[in-house]
Amino acid sequence: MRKLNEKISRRDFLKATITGLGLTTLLASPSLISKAEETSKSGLKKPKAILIDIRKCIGCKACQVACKVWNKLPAEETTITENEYTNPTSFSANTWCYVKFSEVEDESGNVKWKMASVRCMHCLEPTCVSVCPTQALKKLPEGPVIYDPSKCIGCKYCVEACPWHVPHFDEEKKVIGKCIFCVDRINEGMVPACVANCQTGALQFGDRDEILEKAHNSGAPYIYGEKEAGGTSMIFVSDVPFEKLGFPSVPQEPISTYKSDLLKSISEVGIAAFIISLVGYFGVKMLARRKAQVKASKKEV
Amino acid sequence: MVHVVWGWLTALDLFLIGTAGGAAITSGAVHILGKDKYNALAEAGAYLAPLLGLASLLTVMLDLGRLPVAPMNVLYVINHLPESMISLGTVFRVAFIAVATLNAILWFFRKETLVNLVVRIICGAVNMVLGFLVTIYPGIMLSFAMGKPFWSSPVFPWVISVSGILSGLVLSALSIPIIGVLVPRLTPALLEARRTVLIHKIPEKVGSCMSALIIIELVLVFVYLNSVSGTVGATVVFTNPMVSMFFWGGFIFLGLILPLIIFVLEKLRLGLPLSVWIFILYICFILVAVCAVAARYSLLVAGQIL
Repeated sequence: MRKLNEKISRRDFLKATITGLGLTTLLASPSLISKAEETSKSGLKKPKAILIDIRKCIGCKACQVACKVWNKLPAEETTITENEYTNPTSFSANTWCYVKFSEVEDESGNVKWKMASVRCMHCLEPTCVSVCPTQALKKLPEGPVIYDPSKCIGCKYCVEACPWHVPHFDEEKKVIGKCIFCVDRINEGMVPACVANCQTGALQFGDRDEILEKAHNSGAPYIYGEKEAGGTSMIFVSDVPFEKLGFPSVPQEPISTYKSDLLKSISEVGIAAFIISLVGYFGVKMLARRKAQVKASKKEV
Repeated sequence: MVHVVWGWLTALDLFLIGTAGGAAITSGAVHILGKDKYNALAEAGAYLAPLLGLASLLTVMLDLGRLPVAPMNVLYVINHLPESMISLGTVFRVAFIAVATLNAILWFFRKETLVNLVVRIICGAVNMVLGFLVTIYPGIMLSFAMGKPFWSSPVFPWVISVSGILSGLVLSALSIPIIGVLVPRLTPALLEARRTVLIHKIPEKVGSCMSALIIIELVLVFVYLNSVSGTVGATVVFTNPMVSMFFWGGFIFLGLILPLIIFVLEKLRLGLPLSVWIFILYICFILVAVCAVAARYSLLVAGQIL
């Protein structure tokens, strides 16, 4: 064992320096950058989208299974809720795509099943990305919102911030999990696994502009995802209103506008409360002084 | 659908950091704006702020899990500084704890010189600003969570902030006798406060400030609940037995209304003996502080139920 007062030889010094530099290079090397992010730099900058035609969906759940298989997500114990076939009933850290079943009554009183394949909306201006404190979540120019589990600190802020309640926390791994738009497939020129396995053409993949055009030309009276939260990469078309299908009503403005408006209102409320408190304080003081004066004058009398 | 990912630990963290900020505000306000006879309160607040701030950091780390890497996570957030409110909040927290610690050290080793006094006043003022930021940022952070409409109200951050200032104020007052008993020779101001009648004057003064803040808080809660009346969270506050119990029974009744009633009744000359009155006041302080945790828990849970 080296003694504390022993001098370090030049060779030892060089060894230590090279080892240190090597470790630093290794830590900073692109190999640690998520593979998806790396491949996204290869081109394909045009934003992509998926068209989900609820009128064509038969609820076969092929998309659900394909997602699990391609992303190697483990199976989970699920429950079937009474009167519906949605199974699993929500996203989880290991369920990134599922088919939502809704029982809808038409004008003549007939009940119909409506099925919608749902996944992360991959917003154009994602709330989850804007709230992530470590930049573990990232928006790629092609559309996908991806995440790097090694950077996730498990704060769960994205879980609370997403208007569609998509990111879920994995209690075992202490990181979040969500759909990554099969970014690895997209970058290889393939379509996402869910789209590739759709049997009825209810799911279509393409450039967002084209998908939007298709949605508008589809003849469907209701479109969801075009403007919600500033626009998303999932464009749903339906012949029944989306509220009846359980889709949340989300503000149309992008998250940046939403935040700045809210911050402005917060400061306005603060100023108002401060002024009211001051007025109240001096009002009470004046009343007390007046009371004391009256008391003193009564005493004098 | 119940989807609670932020529970007791998060509520405790929000309480601790809010209260730490409140203690710093109390200390700074009393020292800069108040009279010398209340210096014991300023001193107690100065000691309490960094302790509670550090406790809140520990709670965050416990909440995040992965304890060996948690401290590094905090450093990562500071190094990268993205636009997230959590990043900003972490910077506020760390800066606050640093300044609050310095402030406490200045109080502990204080000398009655002009330079020392000026430095303490400047440090106290910075500590007050940072204290305010750490009391309000958790509310802003929650209100930015677009997925939870119950929190998305401009009044919500003020409800959280005033609650933090309130609990910081009462805990500072509560800590005077505790510090005095546990470490009697800690500082001359606390020792003097213990010896003299000031020990009774301080809780009375704190009681007045507490009542004013309670009235502000009650108004803010009323306005806030009206502003989010259509949301699921607001319904949960009224219908869910556990949340209702914590919110209405704990926070509103035991934590705000009861202490206010007691104080007003005494002011209308109940004529309680001084020692009994001070004892009751301290009970009120404990109620206010404990129920501030219940407030945060119930508001957190109500917001997460969909």
